[in-house]
Amino acid sequence: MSQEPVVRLTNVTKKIGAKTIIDRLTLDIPAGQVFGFLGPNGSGKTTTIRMMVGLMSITQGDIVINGSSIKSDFEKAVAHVGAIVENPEMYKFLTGYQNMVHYARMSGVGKERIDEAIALVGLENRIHDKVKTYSLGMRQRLGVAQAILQRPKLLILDEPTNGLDPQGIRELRDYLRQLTQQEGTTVFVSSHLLSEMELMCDTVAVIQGGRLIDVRSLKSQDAGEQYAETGFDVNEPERALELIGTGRLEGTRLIVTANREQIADLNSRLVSAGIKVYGIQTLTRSLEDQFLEMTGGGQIG
Amino acid sequence: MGNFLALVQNENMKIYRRLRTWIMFGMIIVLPIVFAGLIAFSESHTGSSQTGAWDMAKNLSSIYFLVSIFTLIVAADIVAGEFTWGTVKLLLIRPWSRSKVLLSKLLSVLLFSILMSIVFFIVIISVSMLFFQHNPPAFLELGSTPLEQVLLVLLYKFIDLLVISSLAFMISTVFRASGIAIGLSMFIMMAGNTIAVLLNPIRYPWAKYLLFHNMDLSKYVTNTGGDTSFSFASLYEKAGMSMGFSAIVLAVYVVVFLAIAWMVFKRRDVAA
Repeated sequence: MSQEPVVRLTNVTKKIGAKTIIDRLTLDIPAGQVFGFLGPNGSGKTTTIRMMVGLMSITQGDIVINGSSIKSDFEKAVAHVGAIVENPEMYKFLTGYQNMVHYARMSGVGKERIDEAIALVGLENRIHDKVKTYSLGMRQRLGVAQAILQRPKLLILDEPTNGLDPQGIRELRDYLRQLTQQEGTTVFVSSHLLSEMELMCDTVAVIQGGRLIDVRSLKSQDAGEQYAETGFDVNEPERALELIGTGRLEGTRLIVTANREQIADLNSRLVSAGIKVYGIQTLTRSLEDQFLEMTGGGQIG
Repeated sequence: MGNFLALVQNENMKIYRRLRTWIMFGMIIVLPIVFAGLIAFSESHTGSSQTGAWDMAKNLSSIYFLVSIFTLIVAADIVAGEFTWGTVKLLLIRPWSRSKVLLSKLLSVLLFSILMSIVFFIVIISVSMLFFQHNPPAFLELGSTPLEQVLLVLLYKFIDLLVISSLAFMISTVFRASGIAIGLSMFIMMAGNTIAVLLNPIRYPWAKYLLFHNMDLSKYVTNTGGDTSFSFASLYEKAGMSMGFSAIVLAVYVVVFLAIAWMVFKRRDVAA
């Protein structure tokens, strides 16, 4: 994990007219991770992704993918990238297979790999139908299939769960995991769906108003070693506080910071002192709370 | 990473896998047959003078404007369509520079126009030969065969087609909308003669560089008939224009159109 990052954004700035859309964004995306890119609508997620794949010019700074600059060495840099930018738009008058052939020719990929990619997303039965007959979910699958066609080192997915049903989201999640573990692909996913990101990503970068606010790891700590705020719902909170000696009171609850083992110990101490414990809850704030706190609520940046 | 021909192959797939394209080919095949059939039918009924096969072929060549319109539509759509469909986002993130993608599209339009012209030529020649008698042609000039004559007429029209299609290609690339590209280029194609009359190159010397005055190179050679009361050729000669002059002006226009298309396409931020 401690190798050279797959993507390195250095002081990336995008100005359109006088408006600064992205402001000196610096970010390293480590290899082999599912890396989340989180931000409210209009925060610059899609703009950043468009710059990463060369659809938009970069006003200042540079993006280096696998050692090649997207600015000065576009063809080489983008060869390592597979992407879906926003909705996966396909040629509707072509069949799914012809669409795949189209992109395969551009990447110099053979027929076997086309079939493999189609099989991976489970689209074999409908692949010879015209895309205009596809549902949104099927087009998403075809979108993923074209993105992984040339076995990219970096897979960029912009809002990949848009329009997918819960089962489709689940499949995509499992599939992305499999890609990172088996093929060593780095996945860069943008979303404004926080709960989704919690389930999918190893690391999340939070962006707002074109600025990077925070980068945090979601899966680094072992759950057993993690200290968390825990609430004990008891009948005599004052006496409980006296007994334990630390923490604070919140209504009938005693709040202490403890890990798994300590929680069990605290519970047995309370019970043996004759205090009734009605419930024990971990009070970790969800990513959503943290996110809303960081981005200051519903402001569109 | 593959080779450039794969890109041209892709663009061709996107042209010929559309129903539209086959309707276009159907029309340029059916229309000359219907026209020639009607004329042959009425001649056989009235018993009037029989039209010769080569004369008929030359008359039918006026339907070539359909080929121009269809090529113009394909040229207007080939870049704009990708933006309208949103597929441009997936097309431009392949290991190919934008210049090469644009070039593959341009080449595909050119191939389309050549293929359509060849089909058209075969259709009008075979229809004329099948339906009409092999009289000696009335229009034959000294030193040229009837085949050369028909080919020359088509060549002049093909040159106009190239100019108009590059214009449509440029507008399509700049505005990312095929509607405006088709409309504007058609307008210039149709209204060219009217504007040409309004802006007389003898009165306004700068007007001789206008696109309209230089289109249709055949005006420099069709002074053989002499039956038209107003000869364009003599007017243009008075203004100091010749076929060579017009050919160069047209070439410059094409180069400028394509250069603008290329520069815009290369720099454009794709946000659609």
